[in-house]
Amino acid sequence: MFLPGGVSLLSATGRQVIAFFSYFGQIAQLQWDILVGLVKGRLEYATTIAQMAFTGVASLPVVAVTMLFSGMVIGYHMAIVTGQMGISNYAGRVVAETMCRELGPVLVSIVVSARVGAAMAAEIGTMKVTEQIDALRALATNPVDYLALPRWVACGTMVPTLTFLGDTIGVIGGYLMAVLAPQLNAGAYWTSIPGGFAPSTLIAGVAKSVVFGIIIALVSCHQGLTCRMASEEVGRATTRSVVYCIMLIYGANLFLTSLIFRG
Amino acid sequence: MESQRRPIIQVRNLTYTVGGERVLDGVNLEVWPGEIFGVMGMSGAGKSTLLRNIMGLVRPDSGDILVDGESIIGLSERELNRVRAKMGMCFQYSALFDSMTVRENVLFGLRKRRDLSPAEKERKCRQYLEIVGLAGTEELMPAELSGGMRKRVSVARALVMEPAIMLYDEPTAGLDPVMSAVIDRLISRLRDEFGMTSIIVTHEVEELFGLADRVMMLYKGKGIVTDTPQALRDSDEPVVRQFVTGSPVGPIRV
Ligand SMILES: Nc1ncnc2c1ncn2[C@@H]1O[C@H](COP(=O)(O)OP(=O)(O)O)[C@@H](O)[C@H]1O
Ligand SMILES: [Mg+2]
Repeated sequence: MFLPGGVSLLSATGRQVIAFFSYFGQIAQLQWDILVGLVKGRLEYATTIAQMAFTGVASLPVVAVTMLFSGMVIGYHMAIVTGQMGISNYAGRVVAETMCRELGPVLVSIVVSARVGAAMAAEIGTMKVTEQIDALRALATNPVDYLALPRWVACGTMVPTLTFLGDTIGVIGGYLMAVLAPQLNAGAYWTSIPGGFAPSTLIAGVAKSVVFGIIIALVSCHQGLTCRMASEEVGRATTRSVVYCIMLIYGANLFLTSLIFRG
Repeated sequence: MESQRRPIIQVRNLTYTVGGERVLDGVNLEVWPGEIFGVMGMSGAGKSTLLRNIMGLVRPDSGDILVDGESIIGLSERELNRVRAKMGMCFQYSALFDSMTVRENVLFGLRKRRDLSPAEKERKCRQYLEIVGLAGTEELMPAELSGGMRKRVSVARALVMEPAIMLYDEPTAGLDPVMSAVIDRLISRLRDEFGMTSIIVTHEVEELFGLADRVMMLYKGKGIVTDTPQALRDSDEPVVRQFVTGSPVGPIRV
């Protein structure tokens, strides 16, 4: 009585473990195929530029709003906290460090996962279900080269660009609240930043976001390309793409943070 | 004359399983250059699956598929692309790229061709849209087209590549009789003028019999009979007989 239950539990766990590794195997294979396409010069510029505009330019408003408001609340908190600690003069630097190390890369990537990653999974998934992917192949076009590669390039370049802009907007947002807070000397907000904030911190945060951008492209394109052949599956693939992107970004962030920031 | 004696498409003992179901169970067929070959069968018989196998879009469990004498089994996707250039496929639900205009759809397969100038590509696009009776629709989006127009755009998109073989999946399903006749005329004209080989998959028996040189009946994953339309009309085979006469009584269970 104990044994059968135990065995089925074990085999169920085994299946989960296999599914987990097979998922990462497929993601690694997709990354490999994309790199081969890139090296062999199969990138199509027109679609890549369209994807960069969609990923970068069209995401800028929501990224700007997200980062402005995050900067404002962080600035507000830090004005109070640094005031209590008697280090009000450091408020600007604290906001800049928070934005560039963590909030910029992670929040921007999550916004892009939801806005761009979901759209990519839905668009490619719809193409799969309506046999447009097969039509590509029938016209001697590799779907990875044609669909995934431009999106990979777009996410890999635009997510860091948005992160850089988002960091800047966040710091400005912090300033706007700091000016309102009575404890804080608005001029000191800016002078505190060049004093101790190292440009390498900004670069390290932006570097993390390159990885997050690549994760978004890989996960979303994979969900689209492997979507099962039923229209309701497109919705599932889209949801999965956002959830997996966010989970993997958290995990990768923890790993990269401990790898990059040592000091 | 060598090519006259060799089938341009050969399928040997093809088996294919999907979702635990054996959809194709030892299919054999030979199509000769310039032939119009029909495949008929019930809905769900595996007709689309057979075409997808021939086009190399899925890999069979076992058996062999030869296109112009070359086996496509085990070819890489890139090698397959070379073989696919000999074939054009018209999908059952058209499968037009719905983010592109009609013109962009038709030109898609030509976009990397360096030997054609942009003007030559445009000319070909107009030419093939004219052939399928859709001149002037270049800037429409697929969503703005009727089902029959979408079908014809997908035919133009495949024809513009000037393949030796065309695979049509239910080319006239859902079309009105006039439009169906236009498509059928187009298929025979392509054979008469260019010697094009066609495989047509459908469940519309009468239409197929008026068009095809030979027809295969696909039933329970097997090609049970392959013969001329006249011979099939006179066939004593119970399944063929029931299918051709469209009778509710007989061995076919629904
Ligand atoms: N991707 C798939 N997943 C599951 N079943 C499939 C798939 N493709 C085809 N089938 C099954 O294969 C059988 C044959 O399908 P199909 O080739 O489309 O038939 P036909 O074109 O003759 O109507 C059907 O029973 C269908 O359910
Ligand atoms: Mg079908």
